[in-house]
Amino acid sequence: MSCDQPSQSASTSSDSKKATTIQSASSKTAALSSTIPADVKASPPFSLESLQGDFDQLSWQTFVAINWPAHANGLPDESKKPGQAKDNNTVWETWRESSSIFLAGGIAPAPWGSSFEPPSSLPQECKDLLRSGNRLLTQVGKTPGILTEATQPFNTGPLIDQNGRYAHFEILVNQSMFQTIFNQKLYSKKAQEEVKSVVFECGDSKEAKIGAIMVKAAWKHLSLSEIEGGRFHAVKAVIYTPPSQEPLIEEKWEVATVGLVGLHIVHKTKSSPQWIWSTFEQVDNCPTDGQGTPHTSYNFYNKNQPAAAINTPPKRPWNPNKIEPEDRRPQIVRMLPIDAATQKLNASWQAKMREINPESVWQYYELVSTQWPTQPAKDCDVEASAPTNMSGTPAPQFLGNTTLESYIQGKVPNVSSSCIECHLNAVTTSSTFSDFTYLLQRAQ
Amino acid sequence: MSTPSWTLDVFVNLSSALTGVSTEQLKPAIDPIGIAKQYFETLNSNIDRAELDRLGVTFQATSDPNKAAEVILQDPAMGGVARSIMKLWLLGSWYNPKQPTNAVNVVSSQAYKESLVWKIMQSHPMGYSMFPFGYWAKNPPPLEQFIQPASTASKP
Repeated sequence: MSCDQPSQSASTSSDSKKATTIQSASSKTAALSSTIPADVKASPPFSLESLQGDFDQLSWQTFVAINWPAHANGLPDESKKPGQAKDNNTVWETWRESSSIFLAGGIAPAPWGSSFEPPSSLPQECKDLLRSGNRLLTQVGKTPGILTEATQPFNTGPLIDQNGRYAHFEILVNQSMFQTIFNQKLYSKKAQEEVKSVVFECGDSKEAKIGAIMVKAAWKHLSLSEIEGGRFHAVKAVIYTPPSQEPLIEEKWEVATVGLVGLHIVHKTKSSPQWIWSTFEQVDNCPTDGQGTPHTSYNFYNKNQPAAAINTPPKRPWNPNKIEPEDRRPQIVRMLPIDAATQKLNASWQAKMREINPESVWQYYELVSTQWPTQPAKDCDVEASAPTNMSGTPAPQFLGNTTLESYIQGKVPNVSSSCIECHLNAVTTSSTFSDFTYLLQRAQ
Repeated sequence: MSTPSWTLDVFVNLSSALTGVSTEQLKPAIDPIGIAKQYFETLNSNIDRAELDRLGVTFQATSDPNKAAEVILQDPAMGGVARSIMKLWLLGSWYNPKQPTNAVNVVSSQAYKESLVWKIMQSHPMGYSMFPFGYWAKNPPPLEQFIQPASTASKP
């Protein structure tokens, strides 16, 4: 393995002598940079705690780099810093959103760098709104067997905020990941039938190469006071709800200001072919179990209803066009507290954000944790090189974002949220292992 | 100052000699699960300390771990405890040495999942799989990829 960690598994024990690709610089003195780290930087002596710290540091560096102000072409604008103007457009928001990749009929998507073209299935008025620069957030209806944005909290129900509005989700990929999908025609169900294995690219520090990255974002509809409060990274979006007969939901679209409440950043690297899973949240999302309710209010928890069942999805019917009454808004609580060392790291990066601008929105985000394989596969082809331990024994064992895995938090193997152990089950439409992404299931 | 006779490391070394599985596999250096510690604590809360000390002293008294394990297994008192240790690792369950045919309890959900028996079977626990979808259509990987054997030179 390449980050100088002692290799653990029977199948990978010989890797401990493999040449490292990781720089030995201290990762504790990270500076603000628009460069996405190609891999984790770790230096001996290694322990579970020290490595967790190194991966958490990588998470923050990545968070800062992909939230750097961006030029229209998606490259970071080096003349600016994140939050310098309180808020900013970001690099990752220029990446390719899943609905622009997996198109009806399995036709080829526009190449990387093409100007944004709204999905052809949308109404003309909606397309016009999108062409004027709004983001597209869709609430997909009944799509059995597929993890759509609408069902990200795992088919157990939507997430509704304390204003009664449904949260919305999107998944985007960077150029490396898009290019693999594009070159191997993985956007097409028919082409997937011919694919024997799916292997996305690994990031590599030695070559300063960024590997495949996927980002999952959770957004909430912001009220006027929330916009004025300046505690969210906010964008204008077209929220589109497709029509449905069962349950009966009307087609609707509206332009709204939405705020970022959750962000998964997942990077495949040479040290971690099972990918590095970083997850961030807006700090006001919810309280932590057993630690009181110190915030004035929460995005997804009502302090006036402490007796209500926690982390329980609202009963059907679900209609994202509605503003749900108070008794239908789930009470979300973080079940696994953020580790003390991670909290300390959060404080230090949040302080950096305040140094740029005391009113920066980025100071209101925190890393929940980073999941990484302690027994990583020998190489980028995980299925071939780690056949008896494809998960790579992840640390921490369980990790969930309260906006993205709201209802499956806990510590029960195979039941509670564990990024790697869940995504290990991801396959293509032809049931081939899809390298830890469910996205390929969207091919048509 | 004398070396403590019963420590986590002694327990892991004895476990390796009893199961034939390497100490590195039983207690990885980077270990997010900590199953060895769970078993160590299970043993400590069920067996008298004096008995465990005797087990540790006996194991460390012989330079060859396999011979030491043999001596322990043949001892009328220590043999039962040693077999319970083997069952802990193989089945993830605690067996009272005095009633060796009935499991008292599964140590934890992690212990169930991490039981060595699944790896020795080249399979996976019921209800949990480390293999991807469709693995059942292929032959399992060879045993060497599941189990890292104890080295005969691994005596503490």
